[in-house]
Amino acid sequence: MNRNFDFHWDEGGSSDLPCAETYNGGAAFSEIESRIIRDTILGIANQTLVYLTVHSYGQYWLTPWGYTADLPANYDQLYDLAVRAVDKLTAVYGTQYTIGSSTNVLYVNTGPSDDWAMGGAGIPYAYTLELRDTGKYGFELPAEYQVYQVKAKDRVSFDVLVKLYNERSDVYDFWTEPRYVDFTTDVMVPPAFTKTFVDVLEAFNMEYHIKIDDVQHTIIPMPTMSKSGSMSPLEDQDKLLDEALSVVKVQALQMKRCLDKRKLMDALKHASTMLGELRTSLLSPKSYYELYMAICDELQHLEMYLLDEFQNGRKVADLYELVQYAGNIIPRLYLLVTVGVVYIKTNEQSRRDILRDLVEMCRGVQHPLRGLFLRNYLLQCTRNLLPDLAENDPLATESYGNVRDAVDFIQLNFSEMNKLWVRMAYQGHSRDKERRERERQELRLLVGTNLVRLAQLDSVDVELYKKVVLPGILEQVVSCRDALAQEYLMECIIQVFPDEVHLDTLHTYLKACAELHTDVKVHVILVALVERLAAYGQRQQALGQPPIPPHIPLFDIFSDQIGNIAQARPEMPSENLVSLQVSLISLAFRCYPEKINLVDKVLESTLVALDKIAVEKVDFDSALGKELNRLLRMPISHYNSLVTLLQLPHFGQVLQRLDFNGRKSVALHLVNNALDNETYITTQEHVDAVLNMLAPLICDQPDQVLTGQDAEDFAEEQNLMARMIHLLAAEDTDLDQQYRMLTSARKQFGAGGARRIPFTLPPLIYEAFKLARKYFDVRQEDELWEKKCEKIFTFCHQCIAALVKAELAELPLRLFLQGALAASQIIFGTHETLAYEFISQAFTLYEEEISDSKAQFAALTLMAASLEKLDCFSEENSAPVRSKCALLASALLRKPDQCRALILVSNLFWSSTTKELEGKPMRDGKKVLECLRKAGKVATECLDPGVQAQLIVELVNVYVHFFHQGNQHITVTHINELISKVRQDLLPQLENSDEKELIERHLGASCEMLRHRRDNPSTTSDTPSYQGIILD
Amino acid sequence: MSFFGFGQSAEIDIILDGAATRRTAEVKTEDGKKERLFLFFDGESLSGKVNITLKRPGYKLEHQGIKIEFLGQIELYYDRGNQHEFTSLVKELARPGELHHNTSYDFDFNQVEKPYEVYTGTNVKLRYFLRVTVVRRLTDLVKEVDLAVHTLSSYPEMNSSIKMEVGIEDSLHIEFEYNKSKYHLKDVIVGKIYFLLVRIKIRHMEIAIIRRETTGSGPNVFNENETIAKYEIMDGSPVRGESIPIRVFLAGYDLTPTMRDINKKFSVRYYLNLVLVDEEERRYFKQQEITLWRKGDRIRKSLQMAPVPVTTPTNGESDQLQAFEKIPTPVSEEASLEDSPTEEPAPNPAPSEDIPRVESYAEGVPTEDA
Repeated sequence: MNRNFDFHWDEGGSSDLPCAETYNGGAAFSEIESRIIRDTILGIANQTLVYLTVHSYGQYWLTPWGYTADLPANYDQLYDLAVRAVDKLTAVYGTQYTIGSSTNVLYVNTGPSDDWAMGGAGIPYAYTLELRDTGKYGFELPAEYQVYQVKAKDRVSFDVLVKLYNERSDVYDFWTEPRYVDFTTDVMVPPAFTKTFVDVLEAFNMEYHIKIDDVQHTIIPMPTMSKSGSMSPLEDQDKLLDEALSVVKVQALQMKRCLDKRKLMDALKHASTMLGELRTSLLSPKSYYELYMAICDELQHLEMYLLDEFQNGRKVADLYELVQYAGNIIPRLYLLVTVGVVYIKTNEQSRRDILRDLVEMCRGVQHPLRGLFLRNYLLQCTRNLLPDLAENDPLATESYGNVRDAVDFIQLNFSEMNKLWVRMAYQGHSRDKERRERERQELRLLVGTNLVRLAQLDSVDVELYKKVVLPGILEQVVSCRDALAQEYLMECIIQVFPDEVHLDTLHTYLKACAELHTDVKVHVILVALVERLAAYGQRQQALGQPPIPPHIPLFDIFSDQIGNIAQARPEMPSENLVSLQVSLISLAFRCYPEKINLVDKVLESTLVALDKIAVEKVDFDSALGKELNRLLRMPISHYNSLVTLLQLPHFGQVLQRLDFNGRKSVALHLVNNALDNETYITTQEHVDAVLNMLAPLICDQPDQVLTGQDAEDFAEEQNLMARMIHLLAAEDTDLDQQYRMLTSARKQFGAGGARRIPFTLPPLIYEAFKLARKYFDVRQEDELWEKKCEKIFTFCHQCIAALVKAELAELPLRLFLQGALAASQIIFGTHETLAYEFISQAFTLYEEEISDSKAQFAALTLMAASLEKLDCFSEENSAPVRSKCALLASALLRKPDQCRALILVSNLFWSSTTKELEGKPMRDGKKVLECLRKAGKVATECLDPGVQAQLIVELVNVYVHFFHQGNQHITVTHINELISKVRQDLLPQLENSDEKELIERHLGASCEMLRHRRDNPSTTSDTPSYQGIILD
Repeated sequence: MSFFGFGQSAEIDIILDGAATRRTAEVKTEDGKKERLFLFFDGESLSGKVNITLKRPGYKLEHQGIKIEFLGQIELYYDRGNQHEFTSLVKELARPGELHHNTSYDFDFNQVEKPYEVYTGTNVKLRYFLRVTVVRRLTDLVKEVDLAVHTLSSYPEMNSSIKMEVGIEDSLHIEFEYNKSKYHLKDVIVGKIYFLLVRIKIRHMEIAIIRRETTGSGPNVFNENETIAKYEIMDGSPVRGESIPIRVFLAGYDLTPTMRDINKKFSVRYYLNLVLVDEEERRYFKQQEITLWRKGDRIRKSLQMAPVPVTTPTNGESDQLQAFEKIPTPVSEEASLEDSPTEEPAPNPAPSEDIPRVESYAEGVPTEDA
């Protein structure tokens, strides 16, 4: 065409071949189009200043001539104007245009329209515009126009929109006129303006989103998909969905345009084509859902329009008929629902009939997926339209309907949807079963929404719920015989309806539970229900009301029905049964906190259940074991009191059903709990019972697994038990009881074997000592106290003996010493004998069992210290013990030990006491010196001068100590001798080292003290004089 | 009409009385287009004027007489030359003579019998027209005006519902019900289909309205089937116990009343064809004739919110089981319909005792993949 103009026609740059792009037409103005242009232009040429011909592509602003490289005469003016035009263009869009004559910028071309316009028609300014781009895409530019859906939220922003609509329609293409605030408008925005536009939107806080990302994309028609075949593999899903969505976009766009032009019939046709996309069988539920959502959006638009249009209620009837001519059922029914909603909204009195008609007509879609979505659409659209009025409401006329109609509507929809949903399970190949189940899970919300709607009906009272709503739902749920559906729906019922109505309908609900499919995890449902009711009870309590209305024996109902269910489904795994019991216990705690017998009842029924499945010992690691463990821990944690647990006679029995590990775990939990809460055990019976429960920690069990227990863990456990013993505390006045408790405990712990008693018996013994002390404290009130104390000590003796028997030495030794001390402090008839007995036992032990030198030294230290404290011995008993000690000291293996032990023993002769002395210290200076001499001798026998020096320094201190105490047998000479020995003999032998320095410092300190005493003699007379001490 | 540029000629116009107010009706022409014609009913009088306008004023028009005819005609397309007139009324307007001026003649056909409705079919056409003829020596001047005629009926006295249980042994039993057997042209077909046994996987179900035009007689009978409407009524595969509603508005389709043996030349009958298509594209169908009639539509029809009929269990007499015709997978949908035998399906001759009660097939499991 652009080579067909008669000005230097066919002089080059054009082709004679009809198929060429640059075909010149065979003759100038051979084409009707060019002729028409010619005639038009010639008609106005004398009034025309500028001729523009718009082309693509290249971004050029071209002037004539095309036939020659010569420039036209007015080229300067041409160029000037072009520059100004191009500048403006660049200012707006930022695009750069090249200016020049076509031949110079591009190539020779003859017969173009601008040449003719200037040369032929005589228009002074003629240009050819080559628009975007510069070659990347060429003739077909990618579309960048976007469509925004905009909604003005307030008056101000609305005015802005209207202003844009009125004044900038050159840039913004409003697809719908902004009519009022909150009205959604679609605006097509050119790429250069998207930013400006969005800025405006944001500045005025308008709601917007990009509706069409790329308009071009929607204009290019997409191939329609084939409707046959079944669902496609996953990788195709996105593609299929995209295709479907783009059809929807295009059709929706056209629908809206038709609506704007008030062409209702055409709009409905487009809507129907759009809805036709929902007929596909190729999409997965997920993709189908997306498609459905997109379409619903568009249908809403249609509904809005129809509502506007048919506000007066006239003619809707015709429309309602009209949409039913759609040949395909899916589009037909979607449209029917949409129009039905308009019908109801414009004509209230049609409500009941229309609703009934819609829900009936939807039966036509028997395909599960499509049917589910269709009915979901119905449900969504009618959510605010149901006649939610009580039956006696004056507004609830025959044609308006009442709540019964609403319930019927939803229930019919529900049962149809559920049937479709269940049917999905049986479609297709069995190898896809898993995928199908997954997809069904994804869709379950669609079915559940029905129940939500039912729950949202305000006019449904308890009575109606009880008589109509619940039985209706349950009938459908039970009769569908599909585990997945039943489980979900039963839970749904619990969740969506208020707790109050559940309380009133428990029997019905639970009865239905018993009839469910065997694969249904009934326990999950029941647990949820119990949980919910228990929480409800708690809330009620918090409000100060009784947790559960007293006329509803909630617990009994549950307990009975759980029994029934267990009976009805013998194949139910026992752990599930137990988990039911767990929830029952939780219910009892939360709603009947004061009725402890209920808890026991649960435990009892658990026991019965366990009997039934004939499990002797339950493996801790099994599911059942875990559930049992949970069951047992619940009361522990709830009551936080071991003693309360003892009121549950069946607790122990259930506990016994666990295997060793299980029992131990529970026992540990018990102990920790008792310790944390400081639960004191106050009677002998309780002690027995508690310790019975804790048996796995106390003694070996027949079913114990011996392998591999960590020694540390074991010690940990036993330490816990030891701490536990301190919780055995009878009432303060009831010491006899305490004694009985201790003996009981002793019996139990005694069975623990050699590994355990070192942990458990000592605290017991200490408790016994404490008890003896208490008897002593109240000796005036109890005549028999002496006897009892004696008994206690005998008891302790036995305990210690048991430890000895367990081939322990140091521990019993200490305990003996402790016993002796305790006995010595409690003055009763035989306490001396007893103490002596204890001491002698200690000595025996020392001699017979302790062989390690360090241990010996340590033991001896203790023995010496104990003896020093003992004050109940007569001289007759005391003397041999003391000398025995000295003897043992000098019999120690290592010299330093000997030395130090002798030093210790020396104290015995000085500060210990006997009965005869009545508490005064012995002050046997001679014996002391003897001991110290011996010690000194032993010290000098040490070969290592360092050790020797150390020992002697220590000796110096001891000497000084006794000297200061007034021991006449010790003189200044002794001290001087020792000091000089160290100074002269020993220190020079030592090499310089830390050790030497230490000794020197030690000695220095002692000397300093002596110097101080020497130079500042005490004024009191009983301190000896330090004159004569040689320090340097 | 002029010969060799000389001789008188005239234009003939037929002006019907009350043309301004008379209702019109659309009538199909042979080439499928529609034209609007004045509408008349049986027994209505036809009167009006014939205007003859001379083309060359001042010259006379010689004629051998002028007459007007009212004709009812049946034309069979395969026998073009032979038109069967079932009505023919003639009125003489002028005796042979000369016309010097434009002339008008009144005419009046009193209470004309118009027994049939106009019809344009595939093989046959029934038309009414007025013809004015100016008889001349060489060529007559003729003017024809077609008229539309509708035959109205009153509500039929007997209008029982159509209810039937049909099936294929062991794989499909359904019971369908249409609320009437006779429908007027703006009527609504309301019905229901019960699925008593489903062992095939149905993909969808539709109702087709079929027009069967029968022409000729004896050995030369031509049947022409035309699917007027296809209307999907079910999507997906139902299970036993489901019932599917049917509601078809007839007003939107291009229907005529049922015509039986019109002048022994042709019949036009209508059938409802219930078609089930299974996953393997096999089609199962059942045709039922319905009678269509035209109702005097003085009262504007209002929306038919016809209640769904309550179906009572079929009684013993109609409990007869009729086999579906089963057509092997056809090439295309259209083909199958046209290729299928059009005769009334023969009722299953087997006495009802031999046929197991449908209930005995009852099985609870939804159709499952084999």
